[in-house]
Amino acid sequence: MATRAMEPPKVVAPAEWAAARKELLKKEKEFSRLRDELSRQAPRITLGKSRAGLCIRWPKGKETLGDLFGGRSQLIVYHFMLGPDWKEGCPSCSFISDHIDGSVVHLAARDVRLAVVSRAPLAQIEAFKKTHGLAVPLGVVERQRLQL
Amino acid sequence: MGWRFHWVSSNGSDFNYDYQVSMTKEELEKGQVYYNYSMQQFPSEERPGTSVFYKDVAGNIFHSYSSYARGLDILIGAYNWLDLTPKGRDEEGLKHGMAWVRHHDKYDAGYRVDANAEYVQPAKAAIPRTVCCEDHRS
Repeated sequence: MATRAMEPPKVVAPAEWAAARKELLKKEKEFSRLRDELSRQAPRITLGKSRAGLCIRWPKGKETLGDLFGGRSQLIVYHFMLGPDWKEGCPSCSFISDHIDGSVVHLAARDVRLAVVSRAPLAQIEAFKKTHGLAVPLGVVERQRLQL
Repeated sequence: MGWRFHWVSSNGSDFNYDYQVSMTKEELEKGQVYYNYSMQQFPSEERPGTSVFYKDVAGNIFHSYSSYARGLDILIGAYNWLDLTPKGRDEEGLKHGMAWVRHHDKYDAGYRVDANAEYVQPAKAAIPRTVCCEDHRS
């Protein structure tokens, strides 16, 4: 878990700020290079043929795992935690899923279909999607912050 | 939730078990699950992850990648934004790092973070059982 001291940030002169920033930049570059290396390596291996027998249900009927590719050759599945009798989906998975919609069209342009799969029956997935609506209006969040 | 992405059900198939994201009866009895490439305890019947597949021109499907647990952090843009701020993720002292996370409509006037909260899976409800895909269990 990433942690950071809670003391208020120290106020420093511009030169000291720039020096500290450059120091951090070194680490950031190191991280970027390692990230590049991982990006080149990690997904280049496959585990042989996957069981294609998955049948999944979505609002328009049934699909197989092959159908889920949606005409692309690469498929990313996010395994969303919504159990067969859960009242609602996991909040952390919902947090991750709040980042999905904006990526879908960009990924499609790179031959990737991004889909979400849960073990709950479809009716339960559909019911959960209808709850919670949109995010809390920012003003409400801001008022709450000011009270803290 | 206001989402538009393609969300489907694997209910009645082995898909979730194949990719280590749902607890099998055997795991439930043992109290240990195989998750993130090792045996461990996990506080939920469902587990988070992402899996990647490749389909060749003949239609053969290959499993190329699965990532779990903290491996999913990189999918969370909000964490990367937080990492740019003086307070950062501000999860120090939280027993469960994401204890501050809520469904996006629940950051309301009653929002409080319990530093001692562990992960608890969402409550269960009496939901009528439906089975799909009975002809595809393999």
